[in-house]
Formats: sequence, C-alpha cells, structure tokens
Amino acid sequence: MITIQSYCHIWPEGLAKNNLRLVDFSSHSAESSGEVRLNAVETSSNTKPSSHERLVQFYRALNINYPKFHKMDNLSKLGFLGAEVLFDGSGQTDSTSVVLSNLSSSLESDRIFQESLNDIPSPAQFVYTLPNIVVGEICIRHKIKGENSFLLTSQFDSQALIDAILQSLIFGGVDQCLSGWIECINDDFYGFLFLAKSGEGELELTKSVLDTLYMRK
Amino acid sequence: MNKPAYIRSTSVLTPLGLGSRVNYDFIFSGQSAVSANTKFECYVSAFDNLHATRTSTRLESMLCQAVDDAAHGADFDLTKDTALILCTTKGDIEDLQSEKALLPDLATRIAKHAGITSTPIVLSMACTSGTMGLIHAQRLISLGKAKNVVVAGGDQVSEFVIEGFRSFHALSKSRCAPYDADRDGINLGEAAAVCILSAEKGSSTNAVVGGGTSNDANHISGPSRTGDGLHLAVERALKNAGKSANEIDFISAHGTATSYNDEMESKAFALSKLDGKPIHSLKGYFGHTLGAAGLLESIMCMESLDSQSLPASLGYKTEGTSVPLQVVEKARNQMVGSCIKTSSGFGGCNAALIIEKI
Repeated sequence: MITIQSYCHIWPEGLAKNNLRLVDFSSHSAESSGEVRLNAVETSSNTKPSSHERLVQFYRALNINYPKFHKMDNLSKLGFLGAEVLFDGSGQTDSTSVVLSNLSSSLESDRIFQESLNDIPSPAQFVYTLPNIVVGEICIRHKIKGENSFLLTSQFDSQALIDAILQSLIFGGVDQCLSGWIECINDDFYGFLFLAKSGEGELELTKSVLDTLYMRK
Repeated sequence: MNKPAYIRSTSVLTPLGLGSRVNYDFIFSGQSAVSANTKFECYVSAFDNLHATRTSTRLESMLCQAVDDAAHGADFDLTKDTALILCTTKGDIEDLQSEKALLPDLATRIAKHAGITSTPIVLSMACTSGTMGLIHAQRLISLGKAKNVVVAGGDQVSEFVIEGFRSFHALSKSRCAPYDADRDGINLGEAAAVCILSAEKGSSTNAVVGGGTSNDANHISGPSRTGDGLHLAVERALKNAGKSANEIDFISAHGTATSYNDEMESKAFALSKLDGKPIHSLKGYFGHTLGAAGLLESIMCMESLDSQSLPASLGYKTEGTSVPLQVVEKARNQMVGSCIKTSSGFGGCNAALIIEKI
C-alpha cells in the first residue's frame, strides 16, 4: 500500500499544507480564519503582483533563508517552496525519490533565454531551460540522491504519476517519493505537491484521491 | 518483480543515414557525421536538407521516419496494448512562440502517426532523457503496467541550444575527443531514435534487464567532482538487473568530451569497479544529441551485442582522465554478452541501464 503522507497547494492567492493555509494573500484579515498562520505581506501598489513577486513573497512569509532561491527561475522557485513546506525541516530526506510533472516544461524560461539571444546569452539563464532543473534544486537543498524524473503530460495525469512513483519506490530502494505537478506559464502558476510513502496511512495513493486533491486549492 | 524488457525492433535516424544497422556499420568503419558548420560557426552533426513541412515540424518528421522504420521491423501490432514514451530536451524549440512548442502535443502527434491509442508521456530529464526512457519502459513492463512500449527520442541542432552551450564555453573548436588529454568540449548533434520493447520475447536477441537513476545533489550545471552520483545510478542498475560489475563486458558511456564530465565518469567507474572494462563514447560520430543520445547509444550497444564487436571511441589518442580507462582505440571484434549504458546531465541527474544478449 502506498499512502499520501502530506500534500501542499501553491497558487497566487495562497499556500496550504494539507488543509491548513500557511500563507493567504486573498484575505487581509488574520481573524477571518482561525487557520491562518501567516498573513499577506501588503504590496506597495494595487496592481496584481507578478508570479515572480508572489513567489518571493511566499518565500519571505515562510521565513526561509536560502540565498540560492533568488537565482532560480519561477518553476524552480515554485517546486522549491512546495518541497520546503512538505519537508518542513524534518531532515528525513535521505531515502527519497523525486517525480514531478507539468504541461509546458520550462517554456517561460525558454522564452526569456530566446530573447537574450539578441544580446549576450547567459549560462545562468540557459541552465533553467530544462524542466528537471527544479528537481536538481530540490535535491541540492535537501541532499536527495534518490531516483528522479520529470514527466510532461497534456494535463495532470494521475495514472502516469502513480506509475512513476511506484517504479521509484520499488526499483529505487527509497521509502518516500516527493511528487506532484508544478506549472508556471503566462505569469501564472499552480503547484500541487505531495509526499508518497510505502506503508499504512489514512490517505491511500489512488487515481481518484490524486485527481480530487489536484482540483482543490 | 524485475523482468527483462525484450527489444523487438529499433531504428535510428542520423545524418549518417536511416536504420540501426546502417548507422552501426558507418561508425564501425570510423565514419563521423560531425563536421564544420558555417551557419552555426562550430562543429555539429546536422542534416543538410531537412525542413519543416506544412503539416509537420522538423523534429516531428525526424521522429516519424524513425518510428515508421522501427514499426516496420516489429513483428506485432502497435495499435494494441502499447505505450509511448517520448524523450526530448528541447523538442521543437524553433517554434517557441507557437503552440507546437508544447512537448506533450508532439508526443500526441507521434502516437497518432504510429497508431498508438494510449496517452503518451514525455520524459524530459536533460541529457539522460533517452536512457531514462528505456528504464521507464522496462519498469512499466516489469510491473505489468504495459505490454509493449515504444520509446522514441529526438532533439535537433538549433541556435537556441548552440548559443546556450557556447555561453558555457562548452563547445569544442574541432571534432570532439572524449576521454582524450586534449579534449576541449562538446559537438552538438541531431538525431531521432526509436526502440520498441515488449514483455514477450518474440524473435528478439537482446533485452533491457535493469536500470537505475540518481541525483548528484551537488550543482545544477556542473558534474560532481567525485562521481558518487553516477556511481549510485550504476549500483542501482546492477542491483535491479541482479548483476555484479564483473559480469559487464563493456561500457557505453556519456563521454561528452568536456573536461569535467569525462573526469567525473572516470571516478564513478572506478567507484563501481568498472574502470577495467572496455569503454567508448559515441559523441565523436553523432555529436551530443541531447534527449536522443542515451537511446541512440543504447541502440548502438544492441548492434554491438548482435555483431559481437565494439566500435572505436572516436577522437581518443592519449589518456586524459585521473583514473585510467580502457578506451577502445580501434574498432574490433569481441565476444560481448552484456553492457552498461550511462548518461549524466544538467540538474545533476544520472542514469544507467544494463542491456543483455539473450
């Protein structure tokens, strides 16, 4: 039996672990929900913050200190934040695999690099034109040497993820798998990440459970 | 639970030609597709006359040719019980502004072309994509999740990728020289490669018997200094295949011909006690074909197992790694029963898989 130990959602208005909203930009009142642990950092203008600004605000709200975060592209920032919330300083990452997925690969960074070709292309930008760099960033941060893969699918494909998670748990010799969907495109983003483990638990890893959780923000 | 995935048919399309045996014969006789390219101002392996058509992108047409050729050689119906895995890093990167840049759409078009009705997936793991595709396929078959799997890999030479590697100062000034003391960087190349695997043996002569992957957890663009990440992937592959290092007859390595990559590999193979085995890199023939590389080179390994021979590691003259490797200097006939294919890439990813003659 494979079970989901914890999950998190990240979207421009909020960040939640399991059912608990850790950061909430949609509400301006800490009293509006007893669950709100960290409230919105007010933005200086009334304009909608960019994806980049929002992801940096999440980083600040979560009190993370990891300067490399600021060098990452948005896709890596998104995946990094999800991993940060799920591992939550537990340090239990030595027996972990990583299986992530999305639709548009690194398209946002691809476009940025393509534009830079008219000028002097930067290796620091080029490296982010691969979707698996976020996996590398997470592995560096949490010292994960387990199996890893990045799948691209036309839409959230719970069956493809389950197949890949199962593979990494059975053939990768690890106890848990960090998995999910991270999409960053057209100045919008959505992340749904979870930790799957072999063994008993309340939430079994099934297609319908994943599909339901994916839809929930 | 680990089971062999039998190789039922393969094909590769490179500037040397179409077909696995055709390409193997060329490299065995020492022919390289790498040459000076005036458009890109560097050495590449690229098709002279291959263009997008009204209905298909350039990469799509490469992949479809290889898929058709492989399907022609398969002695069963691909339209039933068959999964498709597409391995690519940059896909149709030249179409960046159009919707054709979405890689799952490319996979869907390839599936449709091949008559595959299941939903395809794309594996995009930098330069390990092709090797990972074969590992993924073998495991789907082991777990009973698929009966047959078509693994297709492809990438093309583009200004985007050339300028990216140029910005890293990673391009060689001439034809690349993997593991050589004077190596100075990579050549980029383009290719499509297709491997059809099955749970049933049929008339196959080789099988993928196990694989493993790992992450260096060290640096996103630089190889590990110790080789421990690749070593881990090799150990996982050996364990899954139920083999020990001394049962491996040769190594088809990544060998990009950058100073750091080849050095890292030599240390990894020493850690895995494989450094005494014959080793080659095929980048001197095909260039670095990115997401296709691991698949293309695995298919050349299958040709080696079928023909009981080893191609030379083109470009190698003088020992150039801190751990000495047994680099194959001249093409030769040799009894070979199993081999290990390894790949490493940006993001710190490593992959290793074992192919066996059956």
